[in-house]
Amino acid sequence: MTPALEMTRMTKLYSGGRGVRNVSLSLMPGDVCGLLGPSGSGKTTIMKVAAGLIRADDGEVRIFGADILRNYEAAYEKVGCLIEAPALYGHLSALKNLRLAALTRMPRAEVDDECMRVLRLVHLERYSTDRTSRFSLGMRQRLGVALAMLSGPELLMLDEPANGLDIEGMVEIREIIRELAEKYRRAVLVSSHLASELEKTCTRVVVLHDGEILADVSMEEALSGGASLEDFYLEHVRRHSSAHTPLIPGQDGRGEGAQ
Amino acid sequence: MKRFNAALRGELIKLAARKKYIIFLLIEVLICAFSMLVQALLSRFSDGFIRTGTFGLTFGLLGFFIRFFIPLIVFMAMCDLFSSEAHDGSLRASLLRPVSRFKLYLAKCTAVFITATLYLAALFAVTVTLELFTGGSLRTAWTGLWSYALDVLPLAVLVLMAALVCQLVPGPTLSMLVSIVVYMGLVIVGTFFSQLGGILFTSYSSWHNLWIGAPLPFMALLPKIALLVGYSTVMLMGGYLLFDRKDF
Repeated sequence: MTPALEMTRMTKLYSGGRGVRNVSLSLMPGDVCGLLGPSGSGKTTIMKVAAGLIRADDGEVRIFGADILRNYEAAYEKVGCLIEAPALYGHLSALKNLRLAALTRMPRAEVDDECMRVLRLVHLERYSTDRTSRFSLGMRQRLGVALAMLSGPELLMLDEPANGLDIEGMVEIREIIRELAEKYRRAVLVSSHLASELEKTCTRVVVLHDGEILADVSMEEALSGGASLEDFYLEHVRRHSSAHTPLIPGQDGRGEGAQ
Repeated sequence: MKRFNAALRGELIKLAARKKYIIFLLIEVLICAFSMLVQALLSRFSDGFIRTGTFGLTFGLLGFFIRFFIPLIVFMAMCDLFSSEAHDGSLRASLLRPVSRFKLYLAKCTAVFITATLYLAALFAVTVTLELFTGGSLRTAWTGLWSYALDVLPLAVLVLMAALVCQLVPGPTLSMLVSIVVYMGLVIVGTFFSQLGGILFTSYSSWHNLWIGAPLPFMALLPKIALLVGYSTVMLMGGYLLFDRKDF
């Protein structure tokens, strides 16, 4: 079976040395893979390279077997993305934003039906004619998810999809992701800094720290022994960064407080 | 081609949704009507002594609009589609579609070119209508149409220059400012240094003046067209290469 996403030894470094190094990742249809790491660990960089928004310095990225540099259009035909904040045209309505995105993906006759379908999915059908500049953060995020869901993508990439969402919204997104993977065998790559969110959503977890992959295991394996995903994450990160920074200058905090 | 057409339609929808382009079109119509009124009043109060020839308005206003008004529309539209979108992050919406960056770049340039051509077409329609009401003939309107059609080619180079500036300069306000400064600089250099005038594309912005009243000398036209095509190619490829290498 062709992997939905295949990243081989991908490196992308920004000035100052930040970025990701030697990242290899493979995502099969039906996988829900979570990228877990703190801010600046490289989650968004991996997402952006996979989405074609930034170019890797080294390595290869293939989507359903198509190299994203050589065969861009074929690679992204079945991909839906929400990277960082939703990319919306503020002077256009929600429906027009969706129509613009749908135009390049399907015949014109199907555009309106498909746009209304995804709007219903995220419960924004009542606001379809409202300008997106008037939307709240949560509504923008829902519309971002709707944009990513247009035309039933076979690979969905969601960068911090729970940002700005209320509890109900977070649960709905989680259910959509699960249903897509279990019922329709879609591959989903989702990033978050919230371990609890990924624990409830993903079947696999990739732990990132300082631009490197520390662990890439199934969720079952990560949670084996009764530990939570947070414990699993902390265990790997602490093992990686052994150096201890004292909270107070000149005091390492061991024993001094007892005096 | 299907994807390019869809991308182009998208860019045109985005421009059409901005009310300022309708307002600028109304301003264009008002300038034409005002010029006509001034012309009629001058003629009347000077007992016909001060008078422009038949279709003076059609040709007279073309020079002003093609050199000043339409370039401003081009710079504004280009800044909206590139710099503003990059600034507010909405450019990512276009980049996340299954359309290659080259097609997207070309679609944005084509959308601005079509918008500029529509302004030119509106100018022609309004001036010819006004002139026909005041005694102009359809035959002269035909000559006018050729003049307007000729000015479309230098407009394409201007569009590509504005797109290139948007790739080089960050921010919508600075892009707009730099586009205007570069354009005005080229116009001034072309005006004051006649030796350079022949090789600057801005010198051809109202080249219809060269052909008024004479049959089109196609052989003389060819090297100038080749020069404009050369400018277009360099600016298109330069702008695209910068756009393609950008991180969003």
